[in-house]
Amino acid sequence: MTSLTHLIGSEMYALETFTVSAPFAENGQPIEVLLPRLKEEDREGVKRAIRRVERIDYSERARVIGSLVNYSPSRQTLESMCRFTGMPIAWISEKIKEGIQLAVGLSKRGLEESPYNNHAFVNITPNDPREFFFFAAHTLMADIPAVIKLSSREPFLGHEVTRHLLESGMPPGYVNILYADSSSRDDSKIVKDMLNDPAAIPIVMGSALLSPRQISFYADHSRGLVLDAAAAIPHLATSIFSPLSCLSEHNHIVVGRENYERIKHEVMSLYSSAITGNLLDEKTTMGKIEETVLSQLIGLIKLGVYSGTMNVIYARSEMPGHGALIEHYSELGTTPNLLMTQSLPAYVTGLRYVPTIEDALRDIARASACLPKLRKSMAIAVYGNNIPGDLTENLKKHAFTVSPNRPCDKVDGIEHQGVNMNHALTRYR
Amino acid sequence: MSLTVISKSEPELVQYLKTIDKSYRIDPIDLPVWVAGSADWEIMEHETRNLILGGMLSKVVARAKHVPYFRDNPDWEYVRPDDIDRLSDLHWLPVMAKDDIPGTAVTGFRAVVNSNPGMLVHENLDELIRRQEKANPDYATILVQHGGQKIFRYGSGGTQGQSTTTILTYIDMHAEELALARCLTSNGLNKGNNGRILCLYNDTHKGGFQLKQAAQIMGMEFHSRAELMDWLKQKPKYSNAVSKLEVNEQLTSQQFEDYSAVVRAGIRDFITEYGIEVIESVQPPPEFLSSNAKGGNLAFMKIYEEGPSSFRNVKEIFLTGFPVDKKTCETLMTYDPTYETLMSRVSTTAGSTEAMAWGTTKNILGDVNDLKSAHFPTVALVARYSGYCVPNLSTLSPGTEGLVFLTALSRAGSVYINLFTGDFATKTQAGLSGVHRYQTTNIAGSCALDALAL
Repeated sequence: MTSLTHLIGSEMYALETFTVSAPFAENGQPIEVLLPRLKEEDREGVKRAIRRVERIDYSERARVIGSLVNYSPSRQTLESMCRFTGMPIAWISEKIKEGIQLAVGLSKRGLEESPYNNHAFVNITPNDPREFFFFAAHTLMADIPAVIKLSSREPFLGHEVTRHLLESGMPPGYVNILYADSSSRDDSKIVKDMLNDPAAIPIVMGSALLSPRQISFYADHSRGLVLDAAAAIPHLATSIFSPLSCLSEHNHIVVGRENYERIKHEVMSLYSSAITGNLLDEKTTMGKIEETVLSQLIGLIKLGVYSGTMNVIYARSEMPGHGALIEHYSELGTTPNLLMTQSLPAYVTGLRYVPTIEDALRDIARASACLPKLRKSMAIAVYGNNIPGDLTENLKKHAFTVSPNRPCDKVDGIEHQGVNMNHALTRYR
Repeated sequence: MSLTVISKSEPELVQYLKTIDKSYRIDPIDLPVWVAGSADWEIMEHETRNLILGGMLSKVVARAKHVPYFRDNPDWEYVRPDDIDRLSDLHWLPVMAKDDIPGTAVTGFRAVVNSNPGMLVHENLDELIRRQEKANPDYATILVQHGGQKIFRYGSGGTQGQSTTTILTYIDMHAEELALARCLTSNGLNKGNNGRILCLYNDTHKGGFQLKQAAQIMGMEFHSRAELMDWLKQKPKYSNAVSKLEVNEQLTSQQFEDYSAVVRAGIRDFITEYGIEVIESVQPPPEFLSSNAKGGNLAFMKIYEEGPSSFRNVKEIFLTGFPVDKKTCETLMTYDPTYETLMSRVSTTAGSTEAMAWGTTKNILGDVNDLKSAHFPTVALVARYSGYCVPNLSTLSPGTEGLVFLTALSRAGSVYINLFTGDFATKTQAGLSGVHRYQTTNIAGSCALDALAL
């Protein structure tokens, strides 16, 4: 059985462990991993490591980040990531490369340093391999020691990258890696205490509220608005084959019948030509989705179909999470269709036909107003030859990011969900 | 009073209802409660039942004019009770739901009812109670059985947001209890075969209370959760663990686990000492237990697997709150030679605060979650919502899956007609089967959650 340890300062240890199983056993080999529980001693160790961290200057930190170009994930890490997330190995490798580019790009942006003596506590999710690079690069460039709690649903990448950074000259304590058993009340309490530590900048991915004491990213809906099918078609695959990413456009609002038919045809073609099978095979393009997600997805789709608001126009297999295209409708003045407000972490694309841009804006406004907590989409991509300037401005009322003729997924790492991470880190007392 | 099923062409219940009105235009409010406990509902001819229940539905809709939600709702403005003849007329009646059905014109009533809990209740409630009492000459006894309480208020689980309140009269409650007893009997609970029940549901919830009352109706020996806890507290071996868990905020994970294991051992001792033959409990799916650090220490399979030998005399396991997972069924229904235990039956039911146990099943070999519908006092319709201009519920052919809509026919309290429950089921010739729900891990505030942990 594989085991991982906390990585605190230069120390790697585990006082007590728990076992996690990867949901996807490729090649008939189920994988179980021993992870360390989070103990009070670990919390103290983190404090010591942060206190003792040997600070290095900006250029040296940039050099350390730059060393990531030499990082290549081990086969064990790649295969484990496949088995934990269900994503194919080629997709994971690609996202790691993008993560490295994003981090290296950030190291060359002349980011500000924090004048305060604090550290960041980051709770990250397993849905996008770029996430670790994003936080590691930002905290390091802002000269803020980071404590990054990795998800037990993908525990490998962050650990290996941190070891690479240490081997490349990053002083111990700059980036510290922790795990916790989320089913344990003891571990959960320590995580909560670490988030509430007055010396910490708490950063939470997932469903959390924004507050003056916490930087939270509420992973929400991203969507595409298609004014011209030709502008959108080259980018459709980006979202379709990144089903777990909150930046993927799981839903397209298409203006005009002809555009709609073209997008429909193209999405069906992408799903039908996707290569399924062994996740560890480089040729595989479509991964696997967890049963619990599929079960919820089936419920959502059936509710839509049985209430006359969705129509499955293409399904590659009986399980709709593995390549499906769904048309959806909403009656005027009603709560919008679930496909307008729910994330679909599966190989499912929603399509909504509207006759005019005004109809599209009305639908987007209604859907955004129904989104929980923030009342804004994470991102909207707009595809068209001549995108009206006022349209982009209008869309900014309903989304944190508006990407003209570029998939929401293509990010430079400066802003995420309306938060300039460097500003947030360096101005946060 | 109860009716015995007799072998003749027309069930006794049908004959009785004919003596009241040959065309079956009968308001269930004016019927004695034993009607809800009659097994004849299950054996009467389908079309006869359709007519009887249709006549009742017509009366329910007529009464709904005294319920603010229906009276003030434009969707109901043009609904004429006289146009309703059959239960199948439910198809063209408006739909109600706690929360909006996205994309459709169905607007949820949660916010409205939370601001005014009386919105779903007859304004002439006192008059209706008098009518119920008139139909039940033994109403004073029923009232005593319900602690002298005329009105009951129960909050629903609140899984989608703030809990909504359902109001019932004591006669409403008793009708549901009789129907629940009918369901449990059809599941296999029987005074002669398995007379002693241990119920882990708390009777502060509607479900727990009605299970207690149903046991009484069936003449079975009922041991409540409260009795179990008192017993544990009196035993030096278990009292410390119970009291520690009751203030569990200060416990570490290890302490929580250790004390929970002690309490579970105590429950097994209770089962052995009292010769328990039926257990009414909860078994959530693994994903629920793994994501709920604070709950689940009384999940049934934990109690069972730590000491199967205590279950030698247990003949019936009744599990609700979640669909019963396959592994649980297989474990419980397989003979264990080490402990000589054999669970002959696992059964379940679907119910809700708004309605009652409206779908039920026993299991010998098939899918325990393949529920069959009860026919009265709650009726379940399987249909699909369709139409933009004139919304209606499409008629499905048998074998087709759809959404479940509930109508509570015999109610003086909160009125629900075509209530969308969030459940799915397959339409059958006689009603429905295979009731299921997809998102089941969020059961905040429910009876099942309360039963799961100490």
